[in-house]
Amino acid sequence: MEEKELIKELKKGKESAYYEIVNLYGNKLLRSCFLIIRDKNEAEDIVQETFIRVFKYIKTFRGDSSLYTWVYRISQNVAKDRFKNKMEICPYENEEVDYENPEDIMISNIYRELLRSALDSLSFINKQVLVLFYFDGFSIKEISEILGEKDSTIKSRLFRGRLLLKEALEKGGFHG
Amino acid sequence: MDKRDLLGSEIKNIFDEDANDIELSAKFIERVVRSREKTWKNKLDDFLNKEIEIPLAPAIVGLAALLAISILPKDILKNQEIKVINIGSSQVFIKDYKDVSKK
Repeated sequence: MEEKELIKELKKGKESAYYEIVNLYGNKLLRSCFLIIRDKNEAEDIVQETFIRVFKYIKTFRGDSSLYTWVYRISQNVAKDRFKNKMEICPYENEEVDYENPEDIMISNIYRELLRSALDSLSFINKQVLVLFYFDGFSIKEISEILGEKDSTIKSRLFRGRLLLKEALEKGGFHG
Repeated sequence: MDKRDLLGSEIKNIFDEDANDIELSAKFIERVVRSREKTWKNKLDDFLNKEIEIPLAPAIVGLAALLAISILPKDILKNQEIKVINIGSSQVFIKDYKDVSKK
């Protein structure tokens, strides 16, 4: 079903359209939310709340953005509401690497684990932008539409997130 | 911002790896769709599509009772008043009075 048709059917309240939109975006939303908050149950709750809002407000959707972007905007608002208290910037923890036998460990594995740990320790807003940009493949403009922020704000959050990751990698002995 | 530089590629790989086995269950999807606010039309559709279970034994008993009422003569259970009229050595039994409609 094409997007226009799907929106029309959703506005009519057709059950098949509800299944279609959940099947279309449900897993993508769940994965993005999981990557940002690292809790599957919380991520599922956010997805459920997102779709409840989508069903409730679909009649107000005017088509200024794509349906995909609109659904994402709702999900990020839900996530933000739930994690308001976790939005402070958390300092990342240094990864402890076993340097006693470095030859036993693949360098790339250390690099990746270090990066994973640094990603986990990023704040909600920095991680959110990284997930939307690298995992979901949204452009800066689309992310600014989803989060309701200026392009420059998104660029700066992305830059900040990458900088924190680079610093963590440098502390772990990886340069460049 | 380049998505394909080394750091960007590594971030994407980690995200892909970590989210790989995260999936919504069919049960969850069902729950999400059912949680919507229903219109009157949806409610009516749901009602019409509802499965109704009828217990077999009471249904058979009920049906048999209904048949009995409609097929058997109404006066079968009535105590019939029998009048005996003796006429000489003969007896006339009168069981019931019937009205005969005039044409």
